[in-house]
Amino acid sequence: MSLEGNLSAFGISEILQLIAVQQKSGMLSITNPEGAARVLFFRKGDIISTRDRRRRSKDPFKDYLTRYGILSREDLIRVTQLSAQSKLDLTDILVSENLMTEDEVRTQFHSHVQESVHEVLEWAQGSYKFIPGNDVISGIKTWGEFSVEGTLMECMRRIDEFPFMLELIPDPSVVVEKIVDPDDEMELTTNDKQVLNILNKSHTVDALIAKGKLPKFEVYEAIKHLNEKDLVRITGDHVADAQEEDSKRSVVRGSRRRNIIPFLVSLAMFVGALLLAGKYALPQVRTLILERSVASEDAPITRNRTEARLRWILEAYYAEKGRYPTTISLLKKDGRLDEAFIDDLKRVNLQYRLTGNGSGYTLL
Amino acid sequence: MKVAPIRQLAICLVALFALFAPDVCSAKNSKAENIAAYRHTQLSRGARALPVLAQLEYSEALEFLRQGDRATAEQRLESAMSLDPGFADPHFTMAGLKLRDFSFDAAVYLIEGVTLATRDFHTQGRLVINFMTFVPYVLILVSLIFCIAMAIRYLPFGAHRIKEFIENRMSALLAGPSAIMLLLVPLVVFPGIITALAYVTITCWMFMYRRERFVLLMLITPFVLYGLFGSLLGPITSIADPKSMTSLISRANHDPGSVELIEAIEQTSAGELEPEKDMALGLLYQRRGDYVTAADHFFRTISRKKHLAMAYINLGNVYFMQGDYAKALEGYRKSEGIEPLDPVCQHALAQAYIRELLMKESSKSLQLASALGIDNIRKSYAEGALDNVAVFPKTYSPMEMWRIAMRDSGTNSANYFDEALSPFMRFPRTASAWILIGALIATFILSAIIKPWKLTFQCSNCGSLACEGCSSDSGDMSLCRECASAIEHASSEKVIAALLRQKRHSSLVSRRRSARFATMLLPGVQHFSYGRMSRGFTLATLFAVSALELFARGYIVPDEHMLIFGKAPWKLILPAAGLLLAYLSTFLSRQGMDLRDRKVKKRSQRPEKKNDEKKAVRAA
Repeated sequence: MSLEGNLSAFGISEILQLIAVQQKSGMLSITNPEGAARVLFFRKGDIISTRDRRRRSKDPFKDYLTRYGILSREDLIRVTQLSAQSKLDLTDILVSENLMTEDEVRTQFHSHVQESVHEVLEWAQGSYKFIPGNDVISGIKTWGEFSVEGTLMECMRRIDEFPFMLELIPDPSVVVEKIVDPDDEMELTTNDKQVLNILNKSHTVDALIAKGKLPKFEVYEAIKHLNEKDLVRITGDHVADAQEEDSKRSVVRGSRRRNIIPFLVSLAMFVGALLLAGKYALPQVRTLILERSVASEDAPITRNRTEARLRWILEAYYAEKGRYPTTISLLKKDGRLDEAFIDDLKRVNLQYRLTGNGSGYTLL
Repeated sequence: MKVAPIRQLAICLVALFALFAPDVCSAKNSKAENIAAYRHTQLSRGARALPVLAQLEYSEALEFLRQGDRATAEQRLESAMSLDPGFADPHFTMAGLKLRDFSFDAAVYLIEGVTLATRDFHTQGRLVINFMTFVPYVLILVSLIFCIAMAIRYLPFGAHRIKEFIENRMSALLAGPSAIMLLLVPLVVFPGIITALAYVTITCWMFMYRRERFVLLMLITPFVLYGLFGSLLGPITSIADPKSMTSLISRANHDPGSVELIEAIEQTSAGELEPEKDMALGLLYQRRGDYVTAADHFFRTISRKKHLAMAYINLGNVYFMQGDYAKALEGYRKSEGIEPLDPVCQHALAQAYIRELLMKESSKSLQLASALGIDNIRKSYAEGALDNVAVFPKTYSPMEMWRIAMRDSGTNSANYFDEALSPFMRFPRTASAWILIGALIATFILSAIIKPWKLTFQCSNCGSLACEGCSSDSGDMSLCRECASAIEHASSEKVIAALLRQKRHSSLVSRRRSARFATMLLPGVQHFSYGRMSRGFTLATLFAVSALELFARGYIVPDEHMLIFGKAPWKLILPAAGLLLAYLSTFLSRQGMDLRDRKVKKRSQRPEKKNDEKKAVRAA
């Protein structure tokens, strides 16, 4: 039995906690008034995936990977194609094709789950529906099981801290500039180092997000840290970064003009062959199958057999009537001969003539 | 000159009367009177049986049965049996009637019917002809089914190369259908089983597996043998041809001396059978009462065959009829000297002894005749026929007739099988054999010339057709264009394996679906095309036998001396059940579409081309 309702009546965090406490397995789908939807899969109360695999749905993980520059658009297209053709999961292909290591996939998967829950928690309105059961989550590819409690706590922290970050970075188009290189003794997180490495020249925050291979919050957090340590400076200038335009390779397909002449020649030959067969070959087969006869002028034995049968029928006629018939058609009227046999007589060119006032006959 | 309308009408009426007068006049006599007159004429001429009247009675019996008048029908059946004691059909019908009553008589009639149907040379001949016609027809149908199966399976292989050629060289539109049409042209122009077998041999042999080649050879062999040694089937022609000397002699055994038969025998060249021809003519003239001519023919027979007991008996009969019992006795004694245990001879001797008042000898001969089975000969005579017979004519036994048929084989220029099979074979007998042999030789030469990798083969992964021009090697596999492009962007083994698996699956599913519909039309095609040769052969044979039997509803070559052909229900039910069984087996069988992995050498393993070697030498 599913659980469903409105977010205004019952907050999503309560729903998540309820699922976690009751250690439920199933799928929770949340839709906001704008139509955006997110899906969370649970196994025994833990979140195992946020990738929507329903028909007509886009995989949010793909969007996540390209949005933060983890995967190039070309790579994503290739991997998506391979995934569709091989029926393997996207993450399996990423690992197999050496585009990401397993650890990287696991980390990004976790970040994606975190970001998805964060996003959903910010929705004030909307509806939710939880479908319990193990069937719903069968076949779901996961790269870890994440406790609801921990995820919620991290989300709450982000929700609390993000307004302060926005004060520092009010607009993602603001430029971040490296001031100095860090000392060796300076304590920096991995994310801080990653962002600092990109900042060899001035970048907008948007550009940093796109290249940083980190979620938005973590980029903001890293900039904040670096700013606090006076390693970077945030200027108010709005620099229009040269947007990297996708070089749309218009694949000019070789528009070779196809030659129809070979087809027409083949068709003409085939039709000609059919006509030839229809005229010379098939009539004999047709006669054999439809009229059960191989009679023809070139078949002397069949002619003799036809003649013998006719003589026998004439003998029977004579025995009953006391004389031979004037014409063959009388035998047909009597029901002694059928149409097929009359045709056979024509085919073998056998002609009947009465002689001696009905006491004899000749067959020519 | 004007003719008055009334006069015109009168002329027309007179003409019509002249045309139909005989029929009108004959209607004055009743049917019974006509039949009685006919019967009298036939019996007075020495007819042994009255087959025409028996068949008329039989057809009336069947009509009564249809009307539900069983008592009258049984009477008519009995009458038919008595009119022609050798007529088997009334016995079978009677057996059926008795079976409905659960009477033991059913078995008696059935056994008697079977005995009669196989006792006489004429009926034996009908059985042999039907069997000998049925077997090649079944073989033709089975071959046709095999050819269809192989064409479905392997014709696309040949078409693929043509398609690739015209697509690459001419950038042709609809290259696939064009290739198929081009390939089918020879078969359409010369339709027939010989063309089909030769065509399948040439186009498919190189792609076939050993078991398929074996079946093909097995099917070709009878046609080649028939083409080369078909003339040895002459005896069958002698039996099938009503105007052959064998058939005419066979008729003369029973015929009451009809002019038509005498003329036919006289006009037919006898070859080795001159003594038998004279014997037959002698018998016929004897029955007509022309004893002088009859004796003349018997003397001619004796002059050619001095130790032919039969001629002496019949010559004795001629003298006996003329009242010259001493000469008759001389003939019979000569015959007895040659064949002492002949019942007809002993009976004739007894009759002659009686006439010569040698009662003791007569009694001895009669006893011997009785012991040798003269009663069986007596039973073969129709009711009333014995009234005119003092001594029995000596006629040819079935065994002797078969010997005559064997010797008669050389006298016929026509061949029965040539006529029966011509609609299917389309070529003269010998030409057919050479076409098939030529096809085999051509195939062997082509197989030796064309290297395996130059042929079309199946993709190692999905089984789709590929050739040298459109395939690529990947690991141990030769892949088709589609499979190669599917794994083009993948590098890891896991992904490649998954991609190939998916491609294989989708390809197999679509191929299985299309092949299933195409191969279900005729039983056996599916099994043949999936490589199940023995099952395919069994199903195809079952289908062929049932279809032919359903088509013929009894004899495939009906007896020309038969007025009515019984259509017993079993003749419909049995073949229909056979057809049903064949189709059910086809529909219910779940044949796995196996991937026929042709071991094609990879490019790296193939020998270098000679030209390349020469170039390398030049460069060096």
